Amino acid sequence: MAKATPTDIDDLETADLPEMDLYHPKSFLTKWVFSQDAKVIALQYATTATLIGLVALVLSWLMRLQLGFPDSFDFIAPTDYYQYITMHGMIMVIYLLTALFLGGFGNYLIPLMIGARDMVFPYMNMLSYWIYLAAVLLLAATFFVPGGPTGAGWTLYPPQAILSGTPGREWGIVLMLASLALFIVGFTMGGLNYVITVLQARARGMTLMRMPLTIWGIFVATILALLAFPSLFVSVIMLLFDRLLNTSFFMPHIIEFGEKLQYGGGSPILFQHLFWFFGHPEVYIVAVPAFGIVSDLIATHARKNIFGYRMMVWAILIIGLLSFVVWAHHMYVSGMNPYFGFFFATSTLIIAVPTAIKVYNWVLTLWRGNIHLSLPMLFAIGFIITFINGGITGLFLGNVIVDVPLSDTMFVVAHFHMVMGVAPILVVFGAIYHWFPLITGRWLNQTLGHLHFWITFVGAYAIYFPMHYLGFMGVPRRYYSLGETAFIPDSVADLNKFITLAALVVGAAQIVFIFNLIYSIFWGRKAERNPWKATTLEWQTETMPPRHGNFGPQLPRVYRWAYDYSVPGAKDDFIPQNQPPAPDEEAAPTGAPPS
Amino acid sequence: MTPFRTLGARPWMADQVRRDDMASGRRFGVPAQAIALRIFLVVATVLFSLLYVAYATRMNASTLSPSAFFCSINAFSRASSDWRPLQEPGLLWFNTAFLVFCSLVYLGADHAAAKKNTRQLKNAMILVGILSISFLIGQLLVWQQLNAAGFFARANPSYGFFYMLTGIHGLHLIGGLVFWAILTVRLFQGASPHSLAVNIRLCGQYWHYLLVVWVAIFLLLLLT
Repeated sequence: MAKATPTDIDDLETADLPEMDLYHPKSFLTKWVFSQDAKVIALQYATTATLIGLVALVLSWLMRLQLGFPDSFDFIAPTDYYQYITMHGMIMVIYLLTALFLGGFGNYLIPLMIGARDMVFPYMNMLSYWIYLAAVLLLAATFFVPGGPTGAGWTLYPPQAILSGTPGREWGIVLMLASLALFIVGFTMGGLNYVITVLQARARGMTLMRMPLTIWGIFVATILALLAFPSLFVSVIMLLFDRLLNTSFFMPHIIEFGEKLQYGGGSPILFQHLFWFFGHPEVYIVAVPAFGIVSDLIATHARKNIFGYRMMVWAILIIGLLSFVVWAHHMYVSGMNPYFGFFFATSTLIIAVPTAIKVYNWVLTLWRGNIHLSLPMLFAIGFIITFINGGITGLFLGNVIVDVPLSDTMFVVAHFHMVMGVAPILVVFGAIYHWFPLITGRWLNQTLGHLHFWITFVGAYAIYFPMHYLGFMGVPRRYYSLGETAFIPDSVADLNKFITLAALVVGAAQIVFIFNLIYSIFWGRKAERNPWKATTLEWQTETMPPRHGNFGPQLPRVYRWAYDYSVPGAKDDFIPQNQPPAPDEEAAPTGAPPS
Repeated sequence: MTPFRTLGARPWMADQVRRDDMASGRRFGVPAQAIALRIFLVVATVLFSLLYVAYATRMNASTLSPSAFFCSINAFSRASSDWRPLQEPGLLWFNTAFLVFCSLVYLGADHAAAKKNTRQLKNAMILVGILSISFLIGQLLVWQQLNAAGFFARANPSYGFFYMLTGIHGLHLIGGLVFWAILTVRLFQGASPHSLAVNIRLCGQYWHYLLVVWVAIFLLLLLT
């Protein structure tokens, strides 16, 4: 940014596309079904992800029923339980969270927040959604094939994933792998779009360092996903070969029921390396957009510029970079070379530094801010607290010597649900309460919203705090029932009952939320324009909700960063990014203190 | 415009505000599809590199100790492994030649597009299609030869990798043929060579890339 020369003014066809040159839907079908408008695609992504997410929610209820009240439910056989675990994990991590943050929020917010009319490749964007839908349908189909879905656990570790004792060995695992491969192909199309749109289609004046942190989060997460998903793709294809063509990439010599299988010589650890080389960045693919969104929620609802904007950007980048060199901390007990444990423990603990910087900056943004305890703010604060809790147990598990005894216990389950289940989903909720007026022009019902927040927030702690304790007691994860085990006291059963009841209530609160969404789309109170008095471009559109093409005949021009809240001497307590500077504003620095 | 300078900007300071107000909003002065191709090539490189790593690792995997992973990853040796080297069918050399010719023809196509020579461009594009499809058919024939000789994927991990690597490489080529088909149809519908020049050049770059990947795979197969 050293030279103040405008670059390539002649070459601006993307950013300055006049409205009539845009793709225009001609019928209901091209407007709402095969739409190339990023906003519609975003809603399609979000709806699909939510629907399949509800399936995963029901599965978690069933699992909790079994754990809380073992032997009470005849319809849950051990094989069913393993299938619930597998499908719950895979759906939540990939088909819900990844798709919702990048496909949903990414599609809706990127063009609007950077001041573009649409994604750079709208057709490919549409294709991306339809391939995602096919992947989801393929996944859902496993419930109806002979043998049902795979029960291999969401990590699909061979050799057990494709042995005959594992449920869903015939069809379930094959369809699951095919569905994942499709998902990756679809995501790559969408991901290329998000990255290129951010790089090439920003409005005039919107430099990279003027972008809202939401866009930074989605941008970096997309790059992570583009680089990490190939690893999952490789492991999926190789496992598919082992399953369908009887190769031995991952399969060692195995004797099953006294019979020697034709496999031999493969390396199951190789699968784990490939899987986690994807799997750990995946955590940040979900977390980094959440970091970005929560930064914007906090700044807007505390009426204050984000503390340490540059450091927030750097932290996102450093976290993204580090997330590629920590994968084997998921494999301390796999039998890999012990020296790797030392390296990966160190790199894992280093990630705490940029993460802690982010947490401090959120708290310092709140410090002496004009905090409005609106629903988005409540969810944002809930996120910070939950993320700290989940992050701290991550420090426990990052150390080899602590991880070894805690591995495969409920402690791990509690940890990752806190840090990448509850924390990001709180941000998703906060973001929905924040942007719902923009998307629909109506408010969500606030009373139901508060009910939803408090039950979800308190309930999540009722579920997962005791679960850490169960882990310390040695209660193993993935067990259908505990049976007679000497080291597990009877009190564990009571705690399990309590957790199950809490889980049922929290799940029910999500149904209330879904009801609120559907009700408010049609009958919610009408929202005025820019109801939160936010600075970012998506609220400055001519109409709310924004029409196709996002902005009016003229694309917005950006004159400031995204965080001009409570600027001293300004008329309002916010200055939109596209508001030209007042004559006397020119010389003085804008809102933030110099750093 | 270095990344560090960009990331070091203080967007709230008055002097930076003046600089930022002049920004066009674009990061790179090349067409969006050129950046798309480059990013995709990075993604594909990650994919093929991981296949390489998997190949080397599986080749060295001891039949007894899975913990040997990564310990001898740099040595392409076959100690204590069940790995049997692949017998490369001679047909692979022909197939390689098809891809090399493809790349050369693309260079000619670039030239023709620059000189706005429609007839030459049409010929070049048709030739690319014929050569690419010949390559794919050649690869299928190799599969069939190996299978007929009793070496299907399950015969040995080396054969498993051969089918997988050639399969994934072939799928990438088929993906490229989709774009080739779109361009060729447009060309025959009367689009001017000038309007297609950028896309034809990018298509050519993709083919060059797939040639490099194929040569890397072929070398790996020959050397191990």
